Amino acid sequence: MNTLATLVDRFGVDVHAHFDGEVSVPVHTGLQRQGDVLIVPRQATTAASKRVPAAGVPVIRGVDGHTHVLLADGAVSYAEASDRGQVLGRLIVPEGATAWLAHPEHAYTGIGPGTYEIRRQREFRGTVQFVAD
Amino acid sequence: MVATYPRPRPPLTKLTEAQVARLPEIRDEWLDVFLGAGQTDRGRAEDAIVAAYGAAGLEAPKRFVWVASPKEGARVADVLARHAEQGLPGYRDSFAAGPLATDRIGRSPLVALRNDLRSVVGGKVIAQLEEEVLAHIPDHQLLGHSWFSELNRDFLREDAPYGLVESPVADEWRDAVHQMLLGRSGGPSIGYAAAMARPSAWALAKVPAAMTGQDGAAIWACLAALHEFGALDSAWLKAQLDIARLTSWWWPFMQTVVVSDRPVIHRLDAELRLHGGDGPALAFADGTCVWAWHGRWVPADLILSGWSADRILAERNAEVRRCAIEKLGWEHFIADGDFRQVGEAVDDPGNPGCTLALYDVPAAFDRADPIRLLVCTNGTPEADGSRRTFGLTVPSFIDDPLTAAAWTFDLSPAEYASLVRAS
Repeated sequence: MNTLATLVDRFGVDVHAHFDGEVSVPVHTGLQRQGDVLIVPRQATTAASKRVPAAGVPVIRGVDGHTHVLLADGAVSYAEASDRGQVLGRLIVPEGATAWLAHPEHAYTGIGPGTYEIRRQREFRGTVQFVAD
Repeated sequence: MVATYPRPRPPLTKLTEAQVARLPEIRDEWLDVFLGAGQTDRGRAEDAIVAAYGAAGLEAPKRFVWVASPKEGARVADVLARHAEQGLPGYRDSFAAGPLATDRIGRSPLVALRNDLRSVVGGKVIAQLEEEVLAHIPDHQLLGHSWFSELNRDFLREDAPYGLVESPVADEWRDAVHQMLLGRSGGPSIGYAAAMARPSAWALAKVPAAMTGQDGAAIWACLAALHEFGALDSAWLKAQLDIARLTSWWWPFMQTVVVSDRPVIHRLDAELRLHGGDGPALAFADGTCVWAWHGRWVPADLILSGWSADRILAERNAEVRRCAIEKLGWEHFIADGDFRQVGEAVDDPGNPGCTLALYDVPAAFDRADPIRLLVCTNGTPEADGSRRTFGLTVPSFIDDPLTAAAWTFDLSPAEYASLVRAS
């Protein structure tokens, strides 16, 4: 089972001390949110994607220094969006693989087989501005 | 022409295990240097500065002028630099310092050292130094916002664009510096305070280039490591490392050196950003202070007394407003601000125990366009009894919290409601 402690151990992205390491982290294929980042099931596009390496890929670097990191268990691939809009990138998790999104303040999120958009959050201050976690 | 450093030693392409083990220790040592506050050993600092002049092929400076803060140092240095360029009448003797020598003492030897480094130290070693050492020591200038520029802002005339105005040196200031240099005043801070009583009389045209002392700790740490590992052997570098351990900013002229003491307070948060939640984040003995909240500049009263919801709503700078709300706490901000709730509160999708609510905000909050506040509150209180609360601003045409939350991700409310898990 994927407990938080085993995931931290395996991937090396540490989380804040108040999280219970023994809790098992579920893997879902539906809509999920990690802080200000949303994982949205969507059809695949033709965007060229790269295999997510063992060290992971930063999906978004927070202004405050914390980063949401995408990690892979299997042949997971990710295509970073070229514009600086709301969609950060597109994720492909093939059958038999799992992707994990990790962040020190939000622990780990398990993403099962499917294709997804990773979106960031916006707010409104006269014009649209993107939230920095 | 005296060489500033002898030839470096054989190439360093791989670190030994012992050297790798030293990296975190070197990092911690120089982080302490960066944070160093309190009484400085002026005698040792002067010896190190004399050594730096010698290593750069210059005669030892004749005079040291110690000041309590880099802000004060900049003013003294500015007067001396103008005198060197233009000659200021009536103060010839006390102001005679020779031309500014920052390039010869600092920039040129450093550039030459770094260029040579590239042919001696392998890329892998440089990457290790950057990752293990450089990345972990802050440099307030690299945070996209020089704290030093911020400090100088008080001294701008209101009608002058920052940094672009040339103006004659105010008489009071010139007199104060003159008295200080003759050793007649009660100390630099007294003359300084008197001159600053009329800040509109003074405009800062430019700050003479300085050596940053402890502020350059991130770079010095890497060079210190290479020096220790034998890749560099430079008397100039050794002197600079000694100076950085002892001083804040300093200005080398050919015959005079203006040196600032280290701060008396220097505080960072866990992410190594300037932060003082209950007092100045950075303070010098002459009363120069920097007030900061998690790396952002804020006015003193935001920290000292905190802002009420009304004061927050009146603030035009969104970043400062956010700091003020964080300090007050969203929970108190919502309660104090007496906002009108719009629609009913709902459960936050995928996030059991959290509630979403939408509030109307008075037009004053954002003069450009009216907004509403989406607030998510944890159901379970924290250990101290408070509830974690977080707020986001959304356009005012939105009428209920679920639609507001969906809007923040550009989804329909129905799809957002299908959220399986949030963390």
